[in-house]
Amino acid sequence: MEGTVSYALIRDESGLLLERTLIRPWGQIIHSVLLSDRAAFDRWCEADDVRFSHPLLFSELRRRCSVELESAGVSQP
Amino acid sequence: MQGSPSPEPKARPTCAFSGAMAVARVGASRTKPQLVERLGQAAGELGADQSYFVSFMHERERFDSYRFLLACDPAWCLEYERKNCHLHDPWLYHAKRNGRPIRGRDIPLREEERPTVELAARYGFVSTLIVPTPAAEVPSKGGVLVLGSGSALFLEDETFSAVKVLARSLALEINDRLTDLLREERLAVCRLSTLDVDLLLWEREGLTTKAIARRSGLSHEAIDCRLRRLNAKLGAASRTDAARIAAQYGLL
Repeated sequence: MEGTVSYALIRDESGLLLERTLIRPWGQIIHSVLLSDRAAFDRWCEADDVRFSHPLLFSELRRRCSVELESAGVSQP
Repeated sequence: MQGSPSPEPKARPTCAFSGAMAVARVGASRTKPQLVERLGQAAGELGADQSYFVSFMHERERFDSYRFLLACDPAWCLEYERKNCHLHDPWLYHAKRNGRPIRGRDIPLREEERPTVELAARYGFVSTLIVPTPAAEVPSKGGVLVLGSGSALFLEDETFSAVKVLARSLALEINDRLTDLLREERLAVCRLSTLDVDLLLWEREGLTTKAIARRSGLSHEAIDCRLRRLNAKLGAASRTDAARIAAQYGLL
């Protein structure tokens, strides 16, 4: 994948917001999605190429997301 | 003083009112997660089952920002990004040139834009309403709300006019709230002082270092040093860029 990718997690009473920023030479695309449950998170994980290009980063993200979702009491799929 | 009891209202609010209330709740969102959640709820009130808002900004020369708030399948956005769809997105193109809401099907498509529309359709945006939010104060910035449905019958009945009015309000509320939240975020990161803001404002006005020195009472060296620090804080390539970015984020 071309560019630099970073993630931010923001949790409040509405749920867990995952913010993904991809910076490329021409600019940046940032997307924010609210992960309402584990199923939504797993679907999102399946779609992100970063799991192949940066597996360590991705596994750390999965771990932190899981912790946040558990803290929020979000149900398993 | 005792007055007579208030008479009952002659009419009760209708479902259009609940749509308006949902829009108002978007405007009262305190956080980004809440904003995204309420975007989805308000879009649902307007009959859409998928929606997103994208704010675009020309940050500096050859550097653009696209910020998506997704109340739809996020896999769509990842694929959109992979395929560089922003280069051939007829809805974005419309929003950059036109302030009027329009059904997606009424926007003439160029050949290279077809894959972008087909991709969106695969993720549930079969019929769409495209609602631009021009930002008059900063010409290089704008946004667009896209309401979508997997049904081809969405917006094909007499409710279209009412949905259009509410969708326009919704787009403006999201845009305003997102701008506020981004400004707060930037302020927290940059921690600009009053003097920083003044320097950026003077830079924005096109004043030279000499003129700024006269107004601020600082030496040329102190001004240059402070503006260099502001470049770093704002991620700008030059002081002109720093002033532009600060203005775009509403910091000035």
